Amino acid sequence: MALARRTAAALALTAATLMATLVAVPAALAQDGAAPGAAPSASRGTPWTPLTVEKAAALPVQEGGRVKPLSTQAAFALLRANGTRVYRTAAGEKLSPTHWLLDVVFRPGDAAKEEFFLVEEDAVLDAIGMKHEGRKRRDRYAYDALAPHRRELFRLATDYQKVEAKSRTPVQAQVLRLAMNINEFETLASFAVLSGIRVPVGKHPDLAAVFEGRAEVGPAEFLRRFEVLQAAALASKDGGGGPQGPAARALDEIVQAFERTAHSGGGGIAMFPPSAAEDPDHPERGAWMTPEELIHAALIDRVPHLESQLDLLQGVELLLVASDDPVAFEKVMVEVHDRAVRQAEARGEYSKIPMEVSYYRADWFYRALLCFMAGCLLMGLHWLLPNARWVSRLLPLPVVVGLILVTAGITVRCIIRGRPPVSTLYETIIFITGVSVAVALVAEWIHRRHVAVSAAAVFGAVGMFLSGKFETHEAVDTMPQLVAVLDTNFWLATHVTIINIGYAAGLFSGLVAHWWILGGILGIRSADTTYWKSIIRMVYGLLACSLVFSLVGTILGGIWANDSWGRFWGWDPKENGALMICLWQLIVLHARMGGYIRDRGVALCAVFGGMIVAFSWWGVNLLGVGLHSYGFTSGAMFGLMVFYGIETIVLLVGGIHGLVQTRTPAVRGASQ
Amino acid sequence: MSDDSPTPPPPAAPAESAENRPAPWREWAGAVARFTGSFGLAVVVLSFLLVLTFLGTLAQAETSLFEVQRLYFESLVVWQPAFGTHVPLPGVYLLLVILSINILVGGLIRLRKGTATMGVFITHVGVVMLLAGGLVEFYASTKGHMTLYEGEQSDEYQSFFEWEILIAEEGGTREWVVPGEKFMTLKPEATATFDHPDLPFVLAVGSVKPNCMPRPAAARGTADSAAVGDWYLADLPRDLQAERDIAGVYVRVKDLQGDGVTDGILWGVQSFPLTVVSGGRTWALDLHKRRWKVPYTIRLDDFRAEFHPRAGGMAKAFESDVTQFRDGTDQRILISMNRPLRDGGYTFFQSSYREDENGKWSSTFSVVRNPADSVPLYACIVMAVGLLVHFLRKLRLHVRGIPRPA
Repeated sequence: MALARRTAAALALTAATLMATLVAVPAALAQDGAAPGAAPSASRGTPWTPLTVEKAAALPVQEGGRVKPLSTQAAFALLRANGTRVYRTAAGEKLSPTHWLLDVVFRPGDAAKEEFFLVEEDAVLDAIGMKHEGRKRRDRYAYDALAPHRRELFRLATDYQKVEAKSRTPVQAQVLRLAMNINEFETLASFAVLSGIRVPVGKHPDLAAVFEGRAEVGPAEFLRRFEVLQAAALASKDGGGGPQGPAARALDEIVQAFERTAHSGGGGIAMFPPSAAEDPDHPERGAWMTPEELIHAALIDRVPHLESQLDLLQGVELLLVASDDPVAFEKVMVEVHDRAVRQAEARGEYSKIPMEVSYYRADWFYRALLCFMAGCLLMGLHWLLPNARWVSRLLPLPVVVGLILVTAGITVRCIIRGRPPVSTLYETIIFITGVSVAVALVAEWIHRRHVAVSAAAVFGAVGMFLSGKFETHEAVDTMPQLVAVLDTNFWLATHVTIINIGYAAGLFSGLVAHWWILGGILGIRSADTTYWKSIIRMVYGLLACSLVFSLVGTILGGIWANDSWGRFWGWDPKENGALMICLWQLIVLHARMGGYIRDRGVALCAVFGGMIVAFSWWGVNLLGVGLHSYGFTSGAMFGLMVFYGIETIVLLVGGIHGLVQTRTPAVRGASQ
Repeated sequence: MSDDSPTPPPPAAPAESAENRPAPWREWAGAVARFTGSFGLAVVVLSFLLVLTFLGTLAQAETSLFEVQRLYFESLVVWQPAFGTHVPLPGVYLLLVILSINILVGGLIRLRKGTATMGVFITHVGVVMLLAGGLVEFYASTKGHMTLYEGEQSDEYQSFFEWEILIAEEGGTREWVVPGEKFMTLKPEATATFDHPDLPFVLAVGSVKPNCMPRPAAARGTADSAAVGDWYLADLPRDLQAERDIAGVYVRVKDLQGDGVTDGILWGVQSFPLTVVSGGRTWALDLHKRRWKVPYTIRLDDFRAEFHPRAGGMAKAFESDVTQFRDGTDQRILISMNRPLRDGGYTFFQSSYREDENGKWSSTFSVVRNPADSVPLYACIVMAVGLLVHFLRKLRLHVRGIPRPA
């Protein structure tokens, strides 16, 4: 029920946000004179210097419950809007996410002309009444081109928000996604708006005197000396002074105007830590602030000890001033970065920021994908040149390197998160891939048939590819905070890890079984019964390994559920999925022991077992019911159906081939 | 892996003379034992379990888990809708009984004992422990919840799903309970009657509605013979979360002395009980969720919910400070996610929380009494040991006997 309330609240909040953006078009974009519908332009300001981008990337900000580098926030914002983390400008320039975000924040007019809003189906444009002749069905558009249609876009999005997620049509889902992306862009573009405000303290000379006679000051300076201003207004002798005097009234007008302006922007990036006075015992609990929230805290809530945060705000003001001069901008950025780092360090929230920056820079899993693909290439060469010893000797090398990269990536993630390797759906993909490849290398070490290592290359490449696709599809931080029930490293390290090892072994046994089935059909090494016997033993061994881990992992899950939810077993879909894996493997082992199936039966059953693992891993998540709501996903249906289609064909072909062989002399003798 | 190959059929037994041949009942018993402990039966039962688990999982997309459990996992027979009809399948309850017999006979009693089968034997012991624990839990456990506002205390918890009718005399201390299983499974047109030597009336319960809402009869489009006065119970679709269903029944109280008859409606969350006069005394009738007592009192002192900052209200932790009162002593205890309170055979789990419209927090604890609470843990350890013993031995044999390519 709590979940339903939170969902309803989130929906209401999103709807309210969408409606609010209808009436408050960011001043930043308007001020910059971005002409709606203008053609994309290649003219951009001078590029940011590498040092600027480097320092900006490592700025600590808070999003999604944790402090992370600005580069991470930028990367996922760009991924959501653009469908990829790297953006290529109309001029062909390749921009990093941080570079892109700096453009959006400090040169919103330029950013609005760049085409980075991915529209998957042009039906979305038809729905909002935007012409798109001459464009591809799936294409990218600039904010300026979409802006004239944003009212209709947001109206539709508000309507579609009310439709239950699994009942939305693809176009409705994409309209909603585009509206969210536009909204996020506008929010980010408004970040520095407040920093550009000049507060007219010159409205009264006694107020101006506080600032050495200056007529205007920046928000940070104004807020920092607000108490002095109030005292000066009250002490003013002009017109009798006091709370009703001209100076006090002038200050009231300034404050009211400032408050009104403060609601028109200043969101998007929470880079100002909360005041240490808020919860001194638990500083990590405090929410970091956006410029708007900082101004509210200082001006309205009168939160004490915000001096260092206001210093940082002043830094943002200086960045805005220097935005046309990359060299001056770099200098200020270095100062802002150093100041922000000092504040985060003082709160103990900075130590993992550099590691996260380097984690994304290293791109471990993409590099691993390249290694596994190289392994696939060598595998092909090995088939073509079976007698070339250098190929067979070289074959394990890229797979081993790929495994090292996957392991390194997983390890770094564990350190950054302070968690065991698996706590999200994304992490199951990389972990299962890594474990499968490791198991395969052990099997290869035992069997030396080049089958396991070849399968490892294929599995590794597919796994890394899928992890990338999943990340792109979900487009949310892959290191999110965990819901309360998952906040236990003991059970994450035991139940979750063990059951994923079971998944990995089950899937890998299915993959090796493909080779047994297809190799038989293609007549490969048909006279070598020892070889095929060895393969089927490997399949059987992997099935047994999968059974041990799946069974123990499932029961450990039950014990965890008993501690968290008060029952060992509740027939929840995710629990049932794990049970189905165990049941199937028990069926296979008992059927083999009873003589009901032999080698072909084991191979076919292993393939079917892979389908059951896929159902447990992904299928039950699509149902959208049960207590494992943190694992829900959508959009995997198509991929799952393709997988099931392929596997069904393999099963049919393998079964038919077996039937044909029983009517003709066995090619592979005893192995049948 | 040579010993994993299908077991060859035993050599044909020498012809036995009539006097050496075992008695027919022994032959029959042997055949029954061979069948009940066979691999074939294990494979068939496990296959049906797999199919039913799959069907029961898919059914949860449309039906509440409570109903799915009742239909698929706690039944002897499942009538599965398929091809426009209902196909009978063995229910999971029945399958688990057969599986237990199969394991006892085939996996423990008839299993050849030796080092080669030691791991299998241990594993089967673990499975039997798990099934036995499940049986004890199914029949002997009670599950419900206790919801307390800060400062409130209670010594009872109520079921998530089960209903009961409580009868009490005004000003009296005794209570009579009609358990839900006696009337909640009645067909819509059926009626059940209840009496007790100490009660001056007979209670008839009928037209049971698992989820309903009382509505004014004037708003009804069609006639409802069961309506009482100006009200009737309007059927509502079953909720996917069955604990949200609110049941209702029509009751008739008939005096044993005289002809007095009172009709009434009992609804699961009505504010006041139905009162009737019978035998010159006033009685209150109330339909509510089944309740159980705990041997101590729990008071909620403080509830705290912590949320991840800037994460859309995602709960980071929630916990309750409670005081346990028992035999004149009190003890302060913290209950939080993954840290339940276990005492006196009862376990209190931090389940959920709510902030009402006045900003007052309440905390909900799942309360479970399960005599077999720890059995799964021990069973898991036994099974893990058994599987490791078995498969490590297999792996060793496998690696030793593996032929190396030239």
